[in-house]
Amino acid sequence: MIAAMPQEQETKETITIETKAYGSMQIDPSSIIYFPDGIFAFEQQRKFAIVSDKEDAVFQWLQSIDDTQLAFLVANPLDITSSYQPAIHAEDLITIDKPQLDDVKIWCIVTIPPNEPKSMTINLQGPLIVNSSKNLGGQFISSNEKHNVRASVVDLMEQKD
Amino acid sequence: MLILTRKTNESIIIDDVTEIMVVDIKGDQVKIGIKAPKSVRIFRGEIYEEIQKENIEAAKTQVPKDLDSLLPPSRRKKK
Repeated sequence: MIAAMPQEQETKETITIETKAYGSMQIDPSSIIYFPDGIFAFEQQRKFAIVSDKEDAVFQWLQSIDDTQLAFLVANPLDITSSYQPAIHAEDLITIDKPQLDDVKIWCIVTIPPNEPKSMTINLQGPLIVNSSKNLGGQFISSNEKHNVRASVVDLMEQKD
Repeated sequence: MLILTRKTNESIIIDDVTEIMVVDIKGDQVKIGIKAPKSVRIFRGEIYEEIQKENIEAAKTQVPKDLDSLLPPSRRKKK
């Protein structure tokens, strides 16, 4: 059982977690991100880790620590589109202690319709924002109406740069 | 729920600071203008539901064999 909340840990050990995509993996326990409000539709899930089998993969997984089968494919929106500035209210960002959105990591959830990989979409309107120094994360709504909940990844990449 | 009937260019004021105005009416579409302080969050009513539904769909995404291969070769690694 994973012990205290991430900011209290200073261990160099690794722990084993079960992942949907890669089975058992060793991770640094201090990389576990705590989501005080979970994410939309999964508000009870508190602990996640970003995992991947390749160092520089564009797509990684947001893996629930407590539910092996619950994992979301995520991508850094700046790998998919040229610029991305989510418009999020400072009051909302208080849950991750980053009202100014400075020095945060942003991930957006990717959905792949079954058997239609080219139709995959990325949720630019509900980004996941992580305060890395405190390992706090949350899903927030961008009030910029241009940010689609289902933006085509292939189209965005064709337009990029 | 308080229900008021307004015509084009008529408005509703909430809490002395938020004003909602009917800007235009075309068929069954109503264009609504909102003036509010920055601290007031304004979203389409269905946005929470949309994001919940999208997360549920995304959670069903199967582990793809080689996702990066779907990207053009120049995009497969991060910059």
